[in-house]
Amino acid sequence: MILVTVGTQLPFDRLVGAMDALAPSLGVPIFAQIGHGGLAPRNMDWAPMLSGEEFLRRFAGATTVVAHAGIGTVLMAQRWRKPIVLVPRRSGRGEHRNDHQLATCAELRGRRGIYVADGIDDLAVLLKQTLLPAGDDAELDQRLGLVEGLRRQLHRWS
Amino acid sequence: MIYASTVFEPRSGLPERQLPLRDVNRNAPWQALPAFWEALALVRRIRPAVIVSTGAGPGLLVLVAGRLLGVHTVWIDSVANAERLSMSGWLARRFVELHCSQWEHLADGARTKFFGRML
Repeated sequence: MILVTVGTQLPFDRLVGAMDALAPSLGVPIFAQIGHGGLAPRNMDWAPMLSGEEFLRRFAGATTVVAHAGIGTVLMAQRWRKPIVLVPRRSGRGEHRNDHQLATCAELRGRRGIYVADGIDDLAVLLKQTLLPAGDDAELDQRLGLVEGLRRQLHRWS
Repeated sequence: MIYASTVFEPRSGLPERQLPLRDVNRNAPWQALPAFWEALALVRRIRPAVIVSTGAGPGLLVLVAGRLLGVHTVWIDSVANAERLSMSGWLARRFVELHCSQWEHLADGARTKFFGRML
């Protein structure tokens, strides 16, 4: 199952529309959490918003996740070792307040299991390939480094 | 550990100790004043030892309130800001006690530190 998510804060109809258009050619079930978008998909199952529990269940059961370039979603993909295809929101299209998702994608592009699609054509190509799961030890080291740095400071204050 | 947030997000695995925070962003700057007032009230009520925020606007206001009330303050700029600090992160840089970016090239070794990143 492919899980599509656009996060909880802003609609992302360009991504939802692209996945809906691709759905018939992909040959796998797709579920999309479309947020506050105004576009109702026809070719895939969807919901505006799932409960946290239900979202987790779907996430854990997905073979691939397609998402806006939201950090929360990338973290989840790494934690659950899922391949993730990111489509960055663009401020020029009114999809976010600025283009930080482009910067996020520029940094994450090429990481294991993280793929960036700039348009619907890229999405179609990527989703027909075999994708690797996200998450590796170097990323875990970075995470521990941050936690340790904060722990030291908090210890100094306590 | 108490979480104050503009959205209730059970999926992020937060515990039940969640407090609502009024949303503020630069598209609706007039909300900053009541939000700051609420932030002051919040910090007075909770009396935390440390306030940690990743932003954006709402978190920044709670940090300002914390600083004024003598609480330790930490800013961790979101890992989403890989090219430059967020606007709220840039403002927080001026007054928080510990300021971190999650990107080494955005740390300056003095005011902004780098320890690692979430991903």
